[in-house]
Amino acid sequence: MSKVFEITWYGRGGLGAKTGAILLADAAIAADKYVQAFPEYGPERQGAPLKVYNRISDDPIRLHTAVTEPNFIIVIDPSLLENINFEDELKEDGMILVNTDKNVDEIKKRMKTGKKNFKIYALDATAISMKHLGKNIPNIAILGGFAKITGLIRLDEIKKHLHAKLITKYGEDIIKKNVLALESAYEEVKQ
Amino acid sequence: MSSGRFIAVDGADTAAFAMKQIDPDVVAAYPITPQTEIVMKFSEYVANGEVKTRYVTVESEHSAMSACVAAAAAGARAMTATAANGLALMWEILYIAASYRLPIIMGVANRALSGPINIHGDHSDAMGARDSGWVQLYSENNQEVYDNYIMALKIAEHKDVMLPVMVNQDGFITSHSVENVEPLTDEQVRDYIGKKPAHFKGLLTYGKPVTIGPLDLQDYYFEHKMQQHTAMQKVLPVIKEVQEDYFKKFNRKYEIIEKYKADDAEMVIVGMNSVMGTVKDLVDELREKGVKIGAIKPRVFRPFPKNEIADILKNFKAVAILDRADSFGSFAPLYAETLAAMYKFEKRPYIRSYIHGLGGRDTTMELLGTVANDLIKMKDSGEGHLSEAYLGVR
Repeated sequence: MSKVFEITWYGRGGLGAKTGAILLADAAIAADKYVQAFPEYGPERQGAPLKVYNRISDDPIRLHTAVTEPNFIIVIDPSLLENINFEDELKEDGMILVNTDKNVDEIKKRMKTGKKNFKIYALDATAISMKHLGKNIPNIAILGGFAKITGLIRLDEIKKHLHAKLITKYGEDIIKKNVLALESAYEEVKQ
Repeated sequence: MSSGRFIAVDGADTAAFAMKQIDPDVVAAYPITPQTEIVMKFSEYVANGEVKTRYVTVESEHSAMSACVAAAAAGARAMTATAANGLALMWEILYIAASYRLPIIMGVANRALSGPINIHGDHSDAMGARDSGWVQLYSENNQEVYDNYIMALKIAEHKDVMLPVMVNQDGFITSHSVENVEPLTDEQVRDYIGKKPAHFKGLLTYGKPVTIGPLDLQDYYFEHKMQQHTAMQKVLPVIKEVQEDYFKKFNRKYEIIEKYKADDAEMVIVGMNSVMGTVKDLVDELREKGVKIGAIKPRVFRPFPKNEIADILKNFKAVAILDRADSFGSFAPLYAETLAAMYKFEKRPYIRSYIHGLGGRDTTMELLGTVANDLIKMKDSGEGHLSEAYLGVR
Protein backbone atom coordinates (compact mmCIF):
# COMPACT_ATOMS: atom_id res chain seq x y z
CA MET A 1 0.00 0.00 0.00
CA SER A 2 2.85 2.34 0.72
CA LYS A 3 3.65 2.14 -2.96
CA VAL A 4 0.52 4.08 -3.93
CA PHE A 5 1.49 7.52 -5.25
CA GLU A 6 -1.19 10.08 -4.38
CA ILE A 7 -1.86 13.42 -6.02
CA THR A 8 -4.23 16.26 -5.16
CA TRP A 9 -5.07 18.84 -7.80
CA TYR A 10 -6.24 22.26 -6.62
CA GLY A 11 -8.14 24.09 -9.32
CA ARG A 12 -11.27 25.94 -10.21
CA GLY A 13 -14.19 24.72 -12.27
CA GLY A 14 -13.40 25.18 -15.97
CA LEU A 15 -9.59 25.01 -15.75
CA GLY A 16 -9.52 21.34 -16.67
CA ALA A 17 -8.18 19.82 -13.44
CA LYS A 18 -10.54 16.88 -13.82
CA THR A 19 -9.60 16.33 -17.46
CA GLY A 20 -5.93 16.60 -16.48
CA ALA A 21 -6.36 13.95 -13.78
CA ILE A 22 -8.14 11.65 -16.23
CA LEU A 23 -5.44 12.14 -18.87
CA LEU A 24 -2.83 11.34 -16.24
CA ALA A 25 -4.74 8.16 -15.38
CA ASP A 26 -4.94 7.25 -19.08
CA ALA A 27 -1.20 7.74 -19.54
CA ALA A 28 -0.41 5.71 -16.41
CA ILE A 29 -2.68 2.89 -17.58
CA ALA A 30 -0.82 2.91 -20.88
CA ALA A 31 2.25 2.09 -18.79
CA ASP A 32 0.33 -0.82 -17.17
CA LYS A 33 -0.08 0.95 -13.84
CA TYR A 34 -3.17 0.87 -11.67
CA VAL A 35 -4.91 4.21 -11.28
CA GLN A 36 -7.72 6.20 -9.79
CA ALA A 37 -8.90 9.66 -10.83
CA PHE A 38 -11.82 11.25 -9.04
CA PRO A 39 -13.03 14.70 -8.11
CA GLU A 40 -14.22 15.81 -4.74
CA TYR A 41 -17.73 16.76 -5.70
CA GLY A 42 -19.41 19.78 -4.31
CA PRO A 43 -21.88 21.83 -6.24
CA GLU A 44 -20.22 22.21 -9.65
CA ARG A 45 -19.82 25.84 -10.64
CA GLN A 46 -17.53 27.49 -13.15
CA GLY A 47 -14.78 29.27 -11.21
CA ALA A 48 -15.46 27.63 -7.83
CA PRO A 49 -12.50 26.00 -6.07
CA LEU A 50 -12.33 22.23 -6.40
CA LYS A 51 -10.06 19.31 -5.62
CA VAL A 52 -9.36 16.34 -7.87
CA TYR A 53 -7.41 13.27 -6.84
CA ASN A 54 -5.19 10.69 -8.49
CA ARG A 55 -3.72 7.46 -7.21
CA ILE A 56 -1.06 5.58 -9.18
CA SER A 57 0.35 2.20 -8.20
CA ASP A 58 2.01 -0.93 -9.55
CA ASP A 59 -0.58 -3.01 -7.69
CA PRO A 60 -4.40 -2.92 -7.78
CA ILE A 61 -5.79 0.01 -5.79
CA ARG A 62 -8.60 -0.85 -3.39
CA LEU A 63 -8.86 2.31 -1.28
CA HIS A 64 -12.10 4.20 -1.81
CA THR A 65 -11.46 7.28 0.29
CA ALA A 66 -10.50 10.86 -0.43
CA VAL A 67 -6.76 11.55 -0.65
CA THR A 68 -5.79 13.29 2.60
CA GLU A 69 -1.97 13.22 2.61
CA PRO A 70 -0.72 13.13 -0.97
CA ASN A 71 2.83 12.79 -2.28
CA PHE A 72 2.21 15.54 -4.81
CA ILE A 73 0.07 18.67 -4.92
CA ILE A 74 -0.72 20.42 -8.18
CA VAL A 75 -1.94 24.01 -7.87
CA ILE A 76 -3.47 24.75 -11.23
CA ASP A 77 -4.85 28.13 -10.11
CA PRO A 78 -2.24 30.19 -8.18
CA SER A 79 -4.96 32.34 -6.59
CA LEU A 80 -5.65 29.32 -4.35
CA LEU A 81 -2.06 29.22 -3.07
CA GLU A 82 -2.71 31.08 0.21
CA ASN A 83 -5.66 28.83 1.06
CA ILE A 84 -3.77 25.53 1.06
CA ASN A 85 -2.24 24.26 4.28
CA PHE A 86 0.70 22.38 2.78
CA GLU A 87 2.10 21.49 6.19
CA ASP A 88 -1.06 19.54 7.10
CA GLU A 89 -1.94 18.23 3.69
CA LEU A 90 1.31 17.07 2.11
CA LYS A 91 3.61 14.20 3.04
CA GLU A 92 7.16 14.88 4.26
CA ASP A 93 9.42 15.30 1.20
CA GLY A 94 6.28 15.90 -0.88
CA MET A 95 6.32 17.80 -4.14
CA ILE A 96 4.35 20.86 -5.18
CA LEU A 97 3.85 22.04 -8.75
CA VAL A 98 2.40 25.53 -9.09
CA ASN A 99 1.05 27.12 -12.24
CA THR A 100 2.52 30.61 -11.89
CA ASP A 101 4.34 33.35 -13.77
CA LYS A 102 6.49 33.94 -10.66
CA ASN A 103 9.64 32.09 -9.67
CA VAL A 104 9.82 29.57 -6.81
CA ASP A 105 11.31 32.04 -4.30
CA GLU A 106 8.45 34.47 -4.86
CA ILE A 107 5.66 31.90 -4.50
CA LYS A 108 7.29 30.35 -1.43
CA LYS A 109 6.55 33.57 0.47
CA ARG A 110 2.84 33.13 -0.20
CA MET A 111 2.67 29.48 0.87
CA LYS A 112 1.68 28.11 4.27
CA THR A 113 4.48 25.71 5.08
CA GLY A 114 6.09 24.63 8.36
CA LYS A 115 8.63 22.07 9.47
CA LYS A 116 8.14 19.57 6.68
CA ASN A 117 10.53 19.44 3.79
CA PHE A 118 8.96 20.01 0.36
CA LYS A 119 10.20 20.33 -3.18
CA ILE A 120 8.50 23.22 -4.93
CA TYR A 121 8.32 23.62 -8.71
CA ALA A 122 7.05 26.55 -10.75
CA LEU A 123 5.67 26.37 -14.26
CA ASP A 124 3.88 29.06 -16.25
CA ALA A 125 1.34 26.63 -17.63
CA THR A 126 -1.14 29.42 -18.37
CA ALA A 127 1.39 31.27 -20.59
CA ILE A 128 2.27 28.03 -22.36
CA SER A 129 -1.41 27.30 -22.89
CA MET A 130 -2.11 30.83 -24.18
CA LYS A 131 0.86 30.62 -26.55
CA HIS A 132 0.11 27.24 -28.08
CA LEU A 133 -3.64 26.84 -27.65
CA GLY A 134 -4.74 30.46 -27.55
CA LYS A 135 -6.71 29.95 -24.32
CA ASN A 136 -6.19 29.25 -20.65
CA ILE A 137 -6.41 25.44 -20.35
CA PRO A 138 -3.25 24.79 -18.36
CA ASN A 139 -3.80 21.09 -17.65
CA ILE A 140 -1.82 19.76 -20.61
CA ALA A 141 1.22 21.83 -19.70
CA ILE A 142 0.87 20.74 -16.08
CA LEU A 143 1.08 17.11 -17.22
CA GLY A 144 4.33 17.88 -19.06
CA GLY A 145 5.76 19.37 -15.88
CA PHE A 146 4.53 16.42 -13.81
CA ALA A 147 6.11 13.93 -16.20
CA LYS A 148 9.47 15.72 -15.97
CA ILE A 149 9.43 16.01 -12.17
CA THR A 150 8.26 12.52 -11.26
CA GLY A 151 9.23 10.31 -14.17
CA LEU A 152 6.06 8.36 -13.32
CA ILE A 153 4.65 8.79 -16.80
CA ARG A 154 6.45 9.35 -20.07
CA LEU A 155 5.80 12.10 -22.58
CA ASP A 156 5.19 9.62 -25.39
CA GLU A 157 2.51 7.90 -23.31
CA ILE A 158 0.70 11.18 -22.73
CA LYS A 159 1.01 12.08 -26.41
CA LYS A 160 -0.41 8.74 -27.46
CA HIS A 161 -3.42 9.26 -25.26
CA LEU A 162 -3.96 12.87 -26.27
CA HIS A 163 -4.08 11.59 -29.80
CA ALA A 164 -6.56 8.83 -29.04
CA LYS A 165 -8.78 11.14 -27.00
CA LEU A 166 -8.82 14.22 -29.18
CA ILE A 167 -8.47 12.97 -32.75
CA THR A 168 -12.13 12.50 -33.66
CA LYS A 169 -13.42 15.59 -31.90
CA TYR A 170 -10.62 18.08 -32.63
CA GLY A 171 -8.31 16.73 -35.36
CA GLU A 172 -4.55 16.70 -35.93
CA ASP A 173 -4.00 20.46 -35.71
CA ILE A 174 -5.28 20.78 -32.13
CA ILE A 175 -3.32 17.70 -31.12
CA LYS A 176 -0.12 19.22 -32.50
CA LYS A 177 -0.72 22.37 -30.44
CA ASN A 178 -1.31 20.31 -27.31
CA VAL A 179 1.87 18.32 -27.92
CA LEU A 180 3.84 21.58 -28.27
CA ALA A 181 2.40 22.79 -24.95
CA LEU A 182 3.32 19.47 -23.36
CA GLU A 183 6.89 19.59 -24.65
CA SER A 184 7.45 23.25 -23.70
CA ALA A 185 6.27 22.51 -20.17
CA TYR A 186 8.58 19.52 -19.97
CA GLU A 187 11.50 21.81 -20.79
CA GLU A 188 10.45 24.84 -18.77
CA VAL A 189 9.46 23.45 -15.36
CA LYS A 190 11.85 24.75 -12.65
CA GLN A 191 12.58 23.93 -9.04
CA MET B 1 4.71 -0.45 -22.96
CA SER B 2 1.03 -1.10 -22.58
CA SER B 3 -0.33 -4.59 -22.67
CA GLY B 4 -3.70 -2.99 -23.52
CA ARG B 5 -5.49 -5.06 -20.89
CA PHE B 6 -7.09 -2.15 -19.17
CA ILE B 7 -9.24 0.79 -20.03
CA ALA B 8 -9.49 3.81 -17.72
CA VAL B 9 -13.16 4.42 -17.03
CA ASP B 10 -15.36 5.61 -14.21
CA GLY B 11 -18.08 3.37 -12.84
CA ALA B 12 -20.85 5.08 -14.78
CA ASP B 13 -19.06 4.72 -18.12
CA THR B 14 -18.24 1.13 -17.17
CA ALA B 15 -21.95 0.45 -16.79
CA ALA B 16 -22.69 2.12 -20.14
CA PHE B 17 -19.90 0.15 -21.81
CA ALA B 18 -21.29 -3.15 -20.48
CA MET B 19 -24.75 -2.11 -21.70
CA LYS B 20 -23.28 -1.39 -25.13
CA GLN B 21 -21.75 -4.85 -25.31
CA ILE B 22 -25.01 -6.44 -24.17
CA ASP B 23 -26.84 -4.36 -26.81
CA PRO B 24 -30.32 -4.72 -25.28
CA ASP B 25 -33.45 -4.39 -27.42
CA VAL B 26 -34.83 -1.51 -25.38
CA VAL B 27 -33.42 1.06 -22.96
CA ALA B 28 -35.79 3.52 -21.32
CA ALA B 29 -34.28 5.94 -18.87
CA TYR B 30 -34.50 9.32 -17.23
CA PRO B 31 -31.36 11.10 -16.01
CA ILE B 32 -30.60 11.69 -12.34
CA THR B 33 -27.26 12.38 -10.63
CA PRO B 34 -25.06 10.31 -10.25
CA GLN B 35 -26.61 7.91 -12.77
CA THR B 36 -26.82 10.56 -15.54
CA GLU B 37 -23.49 9.65 -17.09
CA ILE B 38 -24.62 6.04 -17.62
CA VAL B 39 -27.58 6.96 -19.81
CA MET B 40 -25.79 9.94 -21.35
CA LYS B 41 -22.94 7.71 -22.50
CA PHE B 42 -25.33 5.00 -23.64
CA SER B 43 -27.35 7.51 -25.66
CA GLU B 44 -24.10 8.42 -27.45
CA TYR B 45 -23.69 4.77 -28.42
CA VAL B 46 -27.25 4.85 -29.74
CA ALA B 47 -26.67 8.09 -31.67
CA ASN B 48 -23.42 6.70 -33.14
CA GLY B 49 -25.19 3.56 -34.28
CA GLU B 50 -22.95 1.37 -32.11
CA VAL B 51 -25.97 -0.49 -30.70
CA LYS B 52 -29.26 -1.60 -32.21
CA THR B 53 -31.15 -0.62 -29.07
CA ARG B 54 -34.43 1.25 -29.25
CA TYR B 55 -33.77 4.10 -26.84
CA VAL B 56 -36.93 5.50 -25.27
CA THR B 57 -36.63 8.94 -23.71
CA VAL B 58 -39.31 9.33 -21.09
CA GLU B 59 -40.57 12.10 -18.82
CA SER B 60 -39.88 10.37 -15.50
CA GLU B 61 -38.45 7.27 -13.85
CA HIS B 62 -41.98 6.00 -13.31
CA SER B 63 -42.36 6.01 -17.07
CA ALA B 64 -38.87 4.57 -17.60
CA MET B 65 -39.71 1.50 -15.55
CA SER B 66 -43.19 1.29 -17.11
CA ALA B 67 -41.63 1.29 -20.58
CA CYS B 68 -39.17 -1.43 -19.51
CA VAL B 69 -42.05 -3.51 -18.14
CA ALA B 70 -43.95 -3.14 -21.41
CA ALA B 71 -40.86 -3.96 -23.49
CA ALA B 72 -39.95 -7.03 -21.44
CA ALA B 73 -43.58 -8.15 -21.44
CA ALA B 74 -43.40 -8.06 -25.23
CA GLY B 75 -40.32 -10.30 -25.04
CA ALA B 76 -37.58 -7.67 -25.37
CA ARG B 77 -34.34 -7.46 -23.41
CA ALA B 78 -34.89 -4.23 -21.51
CA MET B 79 -32.48 -2.19 -19.39
CA THR B 80 -32.49 1.05 -17.47
CA ALA B 81 -30.55 2.86 -14.75
CA THR B 82 -31.39 5.23 -11.94
CA ALA B 83 -30.51 6.48 -8.46
CA ALA B 84 -32.07 7.75 -5.23
CA ASN B 85 -35.27 9.74 -5.81
CA GLY B 86 -35.49 8.28 -9.31
CA LEU B 87 -35.64 4.79 -7.86
CA ALA B 88 -38.20 6.01 -5.36
CA LEU B 89 -40.37 7.34 -8.18
CA MET B 90 -40.25 3.90 -9.86
CA TRP B 91 -41.53 2.30 -6.68
CA GLU B 92 -44.88 0.80 -7.66
CA ILE B 93 -43.57 -0.34 -11.03
CA LEU B 94 -40.61 -2.12 -9.42
CA TYR B 95 -43.08 -4.45 -7.74
CA ILE B 96 -44.96 -4.96 -10.98
CA ALA B 97 -41.76 -5.80 -12.91
CA ALA B 98 -40.87 -8.42 -10.32
CA SER B 99 -44.34 -9.92 -10.02
CA TYR B 100 -44.64 -10.26 -13.81
CA ARG B 101 -41.32 -12.14 -13.69
CA LEU B 102 -39.66 -9.81 -16.20
CA PRO B 103 -35.85 -10.12 -16.44
CA ILE B 104 -35.16 -6.37 -16.64
CA ILE B 105 -31.61 -5.22 -15.75
CA MET B 106 -31.24 -1.93 -13.91
CA GLY B 107 -28.07 -0.18 -12.82
CA VAL B 108 -28.33 1.86 -9.62
CA ALA B 109 -25.67 4.44 -8.75
CA ASN B 110 -26.57 4.30 -5.07
CA ARG B 111 -27.35 7.73 -3.68
CA ALA B 112 -28.86 9.18 -0.53
CA LEU B 113 -32.58 9.88 -0.58
CA SER B 114 -33.85 13.38 0.14
CA GLY B 115 -34.35 15.25 2.37
CA PRO B 116 -32.36 17.28 2.72
CA ILE B 117 -31.16 16.96 -0.86
CA ASN B 118 -27.88 15.09 -1.11
CA ILE B 119 -26.47 13.74 -4.35
CA HIS B 120 -23.80 11.48 -2.84
CA GLY B 121 -23.41 7.80 -2.24
CA ASP B 122 -25.29 5.73 0.30
CA HIS B 123 -27.59 2.74 0.15
CA SER B 124 -30.84 4.26 1.34
CA ASP B 125 -32.28 3.96 -2.18
CA ALA B 126 -31.56 0.27 -2.80
CA MET B 127 -32.30 -0.75 0.79
CA GLY B 128 -35.71 0.83 0.51
CA ALA B 129 -36.36 -1.33 -2.55
CA ARG B 130 -35.18 -4.53 -0.91
CA ASP B 131 -38.67 -6.01 -0.61
CA SER B 132 -39.74 -5.18 -4.15
CA GLY B 133 -38.86 -8.64 -5.46
CA TRP B 134 -35.74 -7.62 -7.38
CA VAL B 135 -32.48 -9.50 -7.18
CA GLN B 136 -29.79 -7.12 -5.85
CA LEU B 137 -26.10 -7.39 -6.75
CA TYR B 138 -23.49 -5.08 -5.18
CA SER B 139 -20.16 -3.94 -6.65
CA GLU B 140 -17.02 -2.90 -4.79
CA ASN B 141 -15.19 -1.37 -7.75
CA ASN B 142 -15.59 -0.65 -11.45
CA GLN B 143 -14.32 -4.07 -12.51
CA GLU B 144 -17.00 -5.66 -10.39
CA VAL B 145 -19.60 -3.29 -11.84
CA TYR B 146 -18.65 -4.52 -15.29
CA ASP B 147 -18.65 -8.21 -14.46
CA ASN B 148 -21.89 -7.90 -12.47
CA TYR B 149 -23.67 -6.35 -15.46
CA ILE B 150 -22.66 -9.20 -17.74
CA MET B 151 -23.55 -11.87 -15.18
CA ALA B 152 -26.80 -10.11 -14.22
CA LEU B 153 -28.25 -10.82 -17.63
CA LYS B 154 -27.51 -14.53 -17.33
CA ILE B 155 -29.00 -14.64 -13.84
CA ALA B 156 -32.14 -12.69 -14.76
CA GLU B 157 -32.89 -14.74 -17.88
CA HIS B 158 -32.17 -18.12 -16.32
CA LYS B 159 -35.23 -20.37 -16.65
CA ASP B 160 -35.42 -20.93 -12.89
CA VAL B 161 -35.22 -17.20 -12.17
CA MET B 162 -36.90 -14.87 -14.69
CA LEU B 163 -36.71 -11.94 -12.28
CA PRO B 164 -35.43 -8.38 -12.59
CA VAL B 165 -31.90 -7.68 -11.35
CA MET B 166 -30.51 -4.48 -9.88
CA VAL B 167 -26.74 -3.88 -10.19
CA ASN B 168 -25.66 -1.51 -7.43
CA GLN B 169 -22.56 0.64 -7.22
CA ASP B 170 -21.74 3.58 -4.96
CA GLY B 171 -22.72 6.94 -6.41
CA PHE B 172 -19.68 9.17 -7.06
CA ILE B 173 -17.32 6.97 -5.02
CA THR B 174 -17.14 4.51 -7.91
CA SER B 175 -19.61 5.95 -10.44
CA HIS B 176 -17.39 9.02 -10.89
CA SER B 177 -14.01 7.49 -10.11
CA VAL B 178 -11.79 6.43 -13.01
CA GLU B 179 -10.22 3.03 -12.35
CA ASN B 180 -8.65 0.20 -14.32
CA VAL B 181 -11.24 -2.02 -15.96
CA GLU B 182 -10.43 -5.07 -18.01
CA PRO B 183 -13.41 -5.57 -20.30
CA LEU B 184 -14.19 -8.66 -22.30
CA THR B 185 -14.24 -8.30 -26.06
CA ASP B 186 -17.55 -7.56 -27.78
CA GLU B 187 -17.43 -11.03 -29.27
CA GLN B 188 -16.82 -12.70 -25.90
CA VAL B 189 -19.82 -10.90 -24.42
CA ARG B 190 -22.00 -11.69 -27.43
CA ASP B 191 -21.09 -15.38 -27.26
CA TYR B 192 -21.49 -15.50 -23.50
CA ILE B 193 -24.92 -13.91 -23.23
CA GLY B 194 -26.11 -15.49 -26.46
CA LYS B 195 -29.57 -15.01 -27.89
CA LYS B 196 -32.59 -14.73 -25.65
CA PRO B 197 -33.38 -18.18 -24.23
CA ALA B 198 -36.43 -19.97 -25.68
CA HIS B 199 -38.41 -19.67 -22.44
CA PHE B 200 -38.11 -15.85 -22.55
CA LYS B 201 -40.88 -15.26 -25.03
CA GLY B 202 -42.52 -12.40 -23.23
CA LEU B 203 -45.96 -12.50 -21.76
CA LEU B 204 -47.84 -11.48 -24.87
CA THR B 205 -48.00 -13.84 -27.81
CA TYR B 206 -50.08 -13.73 -30.99
CA GLY B 207 -52.66 -16.44 -31.22
CA LYS B 208 -52.80 -16.90 -27.46
CA PRO B 209 -54.45 -13.82 -26.01
CA VAL B 210 -54.06 -13.38 -22.26
CA THR B 211 -54.67 -10.59 -19.79
CA ILE B 212 -51.77 -9.49 -17.62
CA GLY B 213 -52.12 -7.85 -14.23
CA PRO B 214 -55.89 -7.86 -13.76
CA LEU B 215 -57.65 -7.80 -10.42
CA ASP B 216 -56.35 -10.64 -8.26
CA LEU B 217 -58.14 -10.63 -4.93
CA GLN B 218 -58.38 -12.94 -1.97
CA ASP B 219 -58.79 -15.96 -4.20
CA TYR B 220 -55.35 -16.07 -5.87
CA TYR B 221 -53.13 -13.08 -4.93
CA PHE B 222 -51.55 -15.01 -2.06
CA GLU B 223 -50.63 -17.94 -4.33
CA HIS B 224 -49.07 -15.57 -6.86
CA LYS B 225 -46.95 -13.96 -4.14
CA MET B 226 -45.93 -17.46 -3.04
CA GLN B 227 -44.66 -18.09 -6.57
CA GLN B 228 -42.41 -15.04 -6.31
CA HIS B 229 -41.08 -16.34 -3.03
CA THR B 230 -40.42 -19.74 -4.60
CA ALA B 231 -38.65 -18.10 -7.55
CA MET B 232 -36.42 -16.09 -5.21
CA GLN B 233 -35.44 -19.28 -3.41
CA LYS B 234 -34.00 -20.61 -6.66
CA VAL B 235 -31.83 -17.56 -7.30
CA LEU B 236 -28.75 -18.23 -5.13
CA PRO B 237 -27.91 -21.60 -6.73
CA VAL B 238 -28.26 -19.93 -10.15
CA ILE B 239 -25.96 -17.06 -9.16
CA LYS B 240 -23.44 -19.64 -7.94
CA GLU B 241 -23.70 -21.54 -11.22
CA VAL B 242 -23.34 -18.35 -13.29
CA GLN B 243 -20.31 -17.20 -11.28
CA GLU B 244 -18.62 -20.58 -11.65
CA ASP B 245 -19.26 -20.61 -15.38
CA TYR B 246 -17.95 -17.03 -15.65
CA PHE B 247 -14.79 -18.11 -13.83
CA LYS B 248 -14.32 -21.08 -16.16
CA LYS B 249 -14.79 -18.97 -19.26
CA PHE B 250 -12.97 -15.78 -18.29
CA ASN B 251 -10.88 -16.67 -15.22
CA ARG B 252 -12.62 -14.09 -13.03
CA LYS B 253 -13.66 -15.45 -9.67
CA TYR B 254 -16.70 -14.14 -7.84
CA GLU B 255 -18.59 -15.59 -4.93
CA ILE B 256 -21.96 -14.81 -3.38
CA ILE B 257 -20.05 -13.78 -0.26
CA GLU B 258 -16.41 -12.84 -0.72
CA LYS B 259 -14.09 -13.81 2.14
CA TYR B 260 -10.84 -11.89 2.56
CA LYS B 261 -8.17 -13.26 4.89
CA ALA B 262 -10.97 -14.80 6.93
CA ASP B 263 -9.78 -18.40 7.22
CA ASP B 264 -7.80 -17.92 10.44
CA ALA B 265 -9.43 -14.65 11.52
CA GLU B 266 -10.84 -14.06 14.99
CA MET B 267 -12.64 -10.92 13.92
CA VAL B 268 -14.22 -9.70 10.69
CA ILE B 269 -15.69 -6.54 9.24
CA VAL B 270 -18.75 -7.17 7.04
CA GLY B 271 -20.03 -4.68 4.47
CA MET B 272 -21.04 -4.04 0.89
CA ASN B 273 -19.82 -1.98 -2.09
CA SER B 274 -16.90 0.45 -2.26
CA VAL B 275 -16.05 0.63 1.46
CA MET B 276 -14.89 -2.98 1.35
CA GLY B 277 -11.84 -2.03 -0.74
CA THR B 278 -10.72 0.28 2.03
CA VAL B 279 -11.51 -2.43 4.61
CA LYS B 280 -9.22 -4.87 2.76
CA ASP B 281 -6.36 -2.35 2.92
CA LEU B 282 -7.01 -1.98 6.66
CA VAL B 283 -6.99 -5.76 7.08
CA ASP B 284 -3.57 -5.95 5.38
CA GLU B 285 -2.23 -3.18 7.58
CA LEU B 286 -3.45 -4.88 10.79
CA ARG B 287 -2.34 -8.34 9.66
CA GLU B 288 1.22 -6.98 9.46
CA LYS B 289 0.87 -6.13 13.14
CA GLY B 290 -0.33 -9.64 13.91
CA VAL B 291 -4.04 -8.78 14.36
CA LYS B 292 -6.18 -11.71 13.21
CA ILE B 293 -8.79 -9.78 11.26
CA GLY B 294 -10.54 -10.40 7.95
CA ALA B 295 -13.25 -8.98 5.70
CA ILE B 296 -16.55 -10.44 4.54
CA LYS B 297 -18.33 -8.92 1.55
CA PRO B 298 -21.80 -10.09 0.55
CA ARG B 299 -22.19 -9.40 -3.18
CA VAL B 300 -25.85 -10.34 -3.13
CA PHE B 301 -28.38 -8.80 -0.75
CA ARG B 302 -31.55 -10.10 -2.40
CA PRO B 303 -32.12 -12.90 -2.05
CA PHE B 304 -30.32 -12.61 1.28
CA PRO B 305 -27.74 -15.42 1.53
CA LYS B 306 -28.83 -16.17 5.07
CA ASN B 307 -27.44 -19.68 5.47
CA GLU B 308 -24.20 -18.81 3.73
CA ILE B 309 -23.53 -15.72 5.85
CA ALA B 310 -24.48 -17.47 9.10
CA ASP B 311 -22.19 -20.40 8.33
CA ILE B 312 -19.29 -18.06 7.53
CA LEU B 313 -19.73 -15.85 10.59
CA LYS B 314 -20.50 -18.46 13.24
CA ASN B 315 -16.87 -19.27 14.07
CA PHE B 316 -15.54 -15.76 14.57
CA LYS B 317 -15.24 -14.19 18.00
CA ALA B 318 -16.32 -10.68 16.99
CA VAL B 319 -18.15 -9.27 13.98
CA ALA B 320 -18.71 -5.66 12.89
CA ILE B 321 -21.51 -5.05 10.37
CA LEU B 322 -21.21 -1.91 8.24
CA ASP B 323 -24.45 -0.50 6.83
CA ARG B 324 -24.48 2.50 4.50
CA ALA B 325 -28.17 3.01 5.27
CA ASP B 326 -30.27 3.41 8.39
CA SER B 327 -33.65 1.99 9.26
CA PHE B 328 -34.97 4.66 11.55
CA GLY B 329 -36.41 3.14 14.68
CA SER B 330 -35.10 -0.34 13.97
CA PHE B 331 -31.85 -2.16 13.12
CA ALA B 332 -29.82 -1.28 10.03
CA PRO B 333 -30.66 -3.64 7.12
CA LEU B 334 -27.54 -5.81 6.76
CA TYR B 335 -27.17 -5.96 10.56
CA ALA B 336 -30.80 -6.95 11.13
CA GLU B 337 -30.79 -9.71 8.56
CA THR B 338 -27.44 -11.05 9.70
CA LEU B 339 -28.67 -11.18 13.30
CA ALA B 340 -31.78 -13.06 12.20
CA ALA B 341 -29.69 -15.50 10.19
CA MET B 342 -27.39 -16.19 13.16
CA TYR B 343 -30.24 -17.01 15.55
CA LYS B 344 -30.24 -20.66 14.53
CA PHE B 345 -26.93 -21.19 16.32
CA GLU B 346 -26.67 -21.56 20.07
CA LYS B 347 -23.13 -20.20 20.14
CA ARG B 348 -22.87 -16.91 18.29
CA PRO B 349 -20.12 -14.34 17.87
CA TYR B 350 -20.26 -10.90 19.48
CA ILE B 351 -21.81 -8.59 16.90
CA ARG B 352 -21.98 -4.82 16.62
CA SER B 353 -23.73 -2.55 14.11
CA TYR B 354 -22.02 0.42 12.47
CA ILE B 355 -23.93 2.85 10.29
CA HIS B 356 -21.44 4.74 8.14
CA GLY B 357 -21.03 7.07 5.21
CA LEU B 358 -24.57 8.44 4.96
CA GLY B 359 -24.85 11.08 2.25
CA GLY B 360 -21.42 10.17 0.92
CA ARG B 361 -19.48 10.99 4.13
CA ASP B 362 -15.99 9.61 3.59
CA THR B 363 -15.44 6.35 5.50
CA THR B 364 -11.72 6.78 6.10
CA MET B 365 -9.05 4.31 7.16
CA GLU B 366 -8.96 6.10 10.53
CA LEU B 367 -12.69 5.56 11.11
CA LEU B 368 -12.45 1.92 10.08
CA GLY B 369 -9.44 1.63 12.39
CA THR B 370 -11.70 2.55 15.31
CA VAL B 371 -14.03 -0.29 14.28
CA ALA B 372 -11.08 -2.70 14.37
CA ASN B 373 -10.10 -1.40 17.82
CA ASP B 374 -13.67 -1.96 19.03
CA LEU B 375 -13.54 -5.52 17.69
CA ILE B 376 -10.26 -6.22 19.49
CA LYS B 377 -11.88 -5.11 22.77
CA MET B 378 -15.18 -6.87 22.09
CA LYS B 379 -13.74 -10.26 21.13
CA ASP B 380 -12.64 -11.00 24.71
CA SER B 381 -14.87 -8.84 26.87
CA GLY B 382 -18.06 -8.72 24.81
CA GLU B 383 -18.03 -4.95 25.29
CA GLY B 384 -20.30 -3.32 22.72
CA HIS B 385 -22.08 -6.56 21.78
CA LEU B 386 -25.45 -5.87 20.13
CA SER B 387 -24.95 -2.12 20.32
CA GLU B 388 -25.39 0.25 17.42
CA ALA B 389 -22.80 2.86 16.50
CA TYR B 390 -22.84 5.73 14.02
CA LEU B 391 -19.34 5.87 12.58
CA GLY B 392 -17.85 9.37 12.60
CA VAL B 393 -21.12 11.22 13.15
CA ARG B 394 -20.58 14.53 14.98
